[in-house]
Amino acid sequence: MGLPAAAAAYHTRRLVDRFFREESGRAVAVLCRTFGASQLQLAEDSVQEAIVRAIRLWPFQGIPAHPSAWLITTARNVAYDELRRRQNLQSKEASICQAQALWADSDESRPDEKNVTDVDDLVLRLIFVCCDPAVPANAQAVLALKTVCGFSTREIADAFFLSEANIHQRLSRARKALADAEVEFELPTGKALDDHLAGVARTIYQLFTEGCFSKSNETPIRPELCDEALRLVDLLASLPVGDVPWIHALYALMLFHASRIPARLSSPEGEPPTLLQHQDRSLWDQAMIADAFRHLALSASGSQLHPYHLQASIAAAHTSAKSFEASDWGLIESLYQTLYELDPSPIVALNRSVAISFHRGPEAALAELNRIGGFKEMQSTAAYHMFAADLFGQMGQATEASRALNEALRVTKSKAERSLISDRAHRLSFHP
Amino acid sequence: MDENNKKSDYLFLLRNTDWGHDMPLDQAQAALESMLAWVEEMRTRGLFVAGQPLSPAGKVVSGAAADTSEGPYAESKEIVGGFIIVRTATIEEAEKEAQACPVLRLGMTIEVRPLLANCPLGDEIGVQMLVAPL
Repeated sequence: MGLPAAAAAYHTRRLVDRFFREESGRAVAVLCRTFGASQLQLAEDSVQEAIVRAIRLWPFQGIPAHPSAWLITTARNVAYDELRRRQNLQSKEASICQAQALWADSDESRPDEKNVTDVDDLVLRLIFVCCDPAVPANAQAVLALKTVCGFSTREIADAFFLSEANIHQRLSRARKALADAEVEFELPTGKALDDHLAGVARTIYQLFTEGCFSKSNETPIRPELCDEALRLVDLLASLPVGDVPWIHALYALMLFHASRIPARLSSPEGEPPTLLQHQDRSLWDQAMIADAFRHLALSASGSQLHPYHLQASIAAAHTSAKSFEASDWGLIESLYQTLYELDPSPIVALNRSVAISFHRGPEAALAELNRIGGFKEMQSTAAYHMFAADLFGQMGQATEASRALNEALRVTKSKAERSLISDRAHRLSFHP
Repeated sequence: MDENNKKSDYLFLLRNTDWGHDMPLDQAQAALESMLAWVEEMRTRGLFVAGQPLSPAGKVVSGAAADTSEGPYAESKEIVGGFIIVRTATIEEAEKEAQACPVLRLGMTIEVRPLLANCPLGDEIGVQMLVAPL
């Protein structure tokens, strides 16, 4: 009484970490090539169904020899059957035949599916489709997380602090927009490519920023979002379309920030992440830093100066310093100055004045703060008032400092920030 | 067969097996891997006799006219999504194996039923009903 064949053939092999998540984006991309970008919903649903079937089958039959190909073949069969079902709603036979056919060829997929060499290229096309100008700007990152990164709507809702219903709404609008605009599953060319590339880069950076500097009070750092963003930028930079200097600058910028995550997370449980000036620099990820400098070097060509170049250079200047105080503040100030000329935003101005304070002292920085205080957004930014308080403190003007802290307390919406401000106000009253 | 003399076969009926729907893919994958490990572990200890997933759709044949309908029509949670046969000394041992299943907490249920060498009616009338036991 030997073991049944299925059990005898069983072999345990751990799936690679994050297999489903990575494969779902690849499978959606492959299906989009077959069925077109207008059938994005069908592609997503079919891939989801294929994954459910994998969960149902694999514990018994073992992981197939070519799990990626299995998923793609299964998803494609599901999609074909769904299309057939739509054509002939009366007949339920098709779906049953399909279910049986699926169990029959569950283990081995067709040989031509085993080496889909251009899958990366297809995934890239999928990213471009998600960032198509036809898709509302506020839905592009949401759609990319769903289709390319395989996030559930619950996870996306958590990532962007929106309700699941809102995410559903954005997704269905985005998919409808793609179908209505009859967006093709092709990479754009010429001028259109540049427009698209900017949107793709913005989406990736948005994911990364939310991952690295989350607005969430509970989880200020979300490694899974950082990982996804790094995976996407890596793919983008490795293909001809994205192998351009300013994309390498974006990549470098992200790597510099990601390298500090271990140091930022070293703060005690429940405390906000450790600030740059207090980080243990030996905790920085040296492999990431080396990679960041490599991409920074690759970014230094051509004639276009992109804000990403400057942001990456600023991050590099901090990384190169032995300590926060020993940073080349003159260089950092001038980089912020150039960045401000490209992107005259309040937050850049605020950062520039921080560099000024280290380079030229609190008086010069305060003068600069007064100059930019005219920005409406500035007055409602807690960081602005906290920095002002800090400068007043350095100059021994306790009353002014405490007034600025009160203002910060008035405008902040974040719980973590509130406790930080109260803490400072408390210390100020004891050590004026 | 001798070493198995004192052992019996138990059937696990797995229900509500589609817990992978709407689950973040990382979690779904982790759950799948824990399920794989659970089956593999029983196999390496020689307890696993057979196991197979079942298609959720099929035919139901019933009545004097042997009418066929699409089925089963049970609540989707009630549909048997797969089975496993284990060989252990007692039902308590089989029960313990089932309790170790890592995806119970995701809603899957396991019904443990002893496989009999003969059906109760056959026993009563002294006839061996089952021709080829496992």
